[in-house]
Amino acid sequence: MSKKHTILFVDDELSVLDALRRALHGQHDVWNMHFAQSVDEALEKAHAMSFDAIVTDVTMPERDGLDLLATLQGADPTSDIPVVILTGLGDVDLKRRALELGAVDLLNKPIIAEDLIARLRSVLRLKSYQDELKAHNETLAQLTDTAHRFVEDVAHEFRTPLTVIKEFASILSDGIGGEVTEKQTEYLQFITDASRNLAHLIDDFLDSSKLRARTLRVDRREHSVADLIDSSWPMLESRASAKRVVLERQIENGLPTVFADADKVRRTLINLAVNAIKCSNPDGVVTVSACTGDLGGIVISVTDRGPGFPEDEAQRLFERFRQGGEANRISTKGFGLGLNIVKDLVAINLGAVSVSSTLGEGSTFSFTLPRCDVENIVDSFIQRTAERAPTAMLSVLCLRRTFPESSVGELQSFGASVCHATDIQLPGQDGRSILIVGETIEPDRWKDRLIRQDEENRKHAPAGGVGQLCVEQIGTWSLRDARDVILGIVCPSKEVKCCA
Amino acid sequence: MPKSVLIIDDEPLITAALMTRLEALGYHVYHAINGLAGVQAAELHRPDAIILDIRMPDIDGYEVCTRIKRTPELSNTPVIFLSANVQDSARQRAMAVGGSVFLSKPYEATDVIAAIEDLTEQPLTLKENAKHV
Repeated sequence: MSKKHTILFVDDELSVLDALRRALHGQHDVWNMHFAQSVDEALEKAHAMSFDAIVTDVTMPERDGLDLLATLQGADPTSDIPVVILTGLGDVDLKRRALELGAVDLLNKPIIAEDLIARLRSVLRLKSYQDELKAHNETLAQLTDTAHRFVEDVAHEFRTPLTVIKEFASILSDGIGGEVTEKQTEYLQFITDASRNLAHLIDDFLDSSKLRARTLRVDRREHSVADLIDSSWPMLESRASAKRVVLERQIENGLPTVFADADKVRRTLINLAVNAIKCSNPDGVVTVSACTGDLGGIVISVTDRGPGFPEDEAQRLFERFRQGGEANRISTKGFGLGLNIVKDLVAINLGAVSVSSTLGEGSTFSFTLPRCDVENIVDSFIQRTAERAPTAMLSVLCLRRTFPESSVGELQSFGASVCHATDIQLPGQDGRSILIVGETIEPDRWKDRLIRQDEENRKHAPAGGVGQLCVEQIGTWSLRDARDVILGIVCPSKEVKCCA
Repeated sequence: MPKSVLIIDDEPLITAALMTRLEALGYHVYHAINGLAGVQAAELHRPDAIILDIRMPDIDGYEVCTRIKRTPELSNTPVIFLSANVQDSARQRAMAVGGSVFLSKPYEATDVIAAIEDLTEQPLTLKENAKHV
């Protein structure tokens, strides 16, 4: 049996409420009906109990029906309650405003009972579908979370026995357990190499799981390219020497700093370099280089002199790199899980991946990183978005400081349809950040929620923490206009070049 | 006099691997199988360096490190975190509680040895110590 729905009727005239009560008398078995004579009374009731629908008059003294609608829509948990507005016949402007504010239906006065009952039934049916969907989504989110935690635990549990295998093979190989023959040393090296590969796979597996669960944290800061390469170098050298491959580096002098998440850059570089080492012959050379790119960003490349592949295949691989979305994971036979993850990690750093290869001569895999410069960072974002969705409209929220958790995740938790988004913590802007969200997501609607969520977060933050979040500017623009708007906000004094 | 190292790890085979390697290189090695035993062993043996796991059955590695750093006689003893948890947050937390180096499992033996040698060469100044962070 379906549950009895609870409905609130709001009108300042008692006679109207009485008339409604009489007209809907026959619905008592299926509806619990409540009545309020003012917006304040309605709000009080809406917070005290849970309504499945609210039917309100517009014209009331002090606060009107639209005010009630806006207040309900702007706050949890009342934002989910469907609101039906009762209006005069000819008031087109008011009807439009009511719909814009989120009214689910409009009904002309005077009310015909049969109409009201039919409309309300339809509204309640939709509401129950919505509730069902919401419950399913919550279950799915929990399942995803459980699955992700499981992956983390598995990864953790794998590492311990793997360490034991790898380390004892290495101990034996070093002769600590007694003399070993040349053949035995060779076999022990196979165990060591395989364990290293497995460890690398576990890292990829973990990253991949986090990327899908959108829990991979992003921490973009200013870094020197040489430092980023240096910090991965010992690991890469040990991988290279195990295969007797020579590792070279060529870093252009005077490279500007980049704005990136260091950990993601390291993981990208290690993935590409390990692939390059894998397909190199003994005594082959793998070169890691960094230089300035065409669009002002920095290009980091890994070149091997391995077998390479035909040019058309390189192009196909590149295309799959470019287009491969969640639904189109590229096949990475021979590349491990690495390439899929590289693509995602580079995208997090607002960069692009490319590949060139010549059969018999070797391959070069490259990725870009934005310079630590607001204009280049914003351009990189616009460029990346344009490649995926040239006609995308961008919603821009300029925040007075960085949102403590991923704003994108917060928006999604509010139900915003975020297709692609980034939260750019801008260098040299005193913690100001730009939240750019793909597609039209009605930024006005999410602004208040972001602020409220922030207040909630700050309650649990350590004392003396960050200041209040302040949204400086919001709006929705085409890609080209969004760029000018953002740069106009963050560097007003600068003459902004037109985006190509 | 050989340098002494205390290994605090609940996984006996990891401890065995580390002991085999370090003893072969002439280190004097102590070990403890959980956090509380680790703190006691550190107070008792005053090792030159400590290799510390994070996830352990009683108190975790962060708590062990905090207690060690709070003990005046041990506050300068370098702590090398060695964990299967490779997340940045684990690394940051390890450094925040006073760890000198963070290495992840599976480790490269050369990295562990280099860390011990770097940290025990001579009394470290703060600045030198920061290089390992």
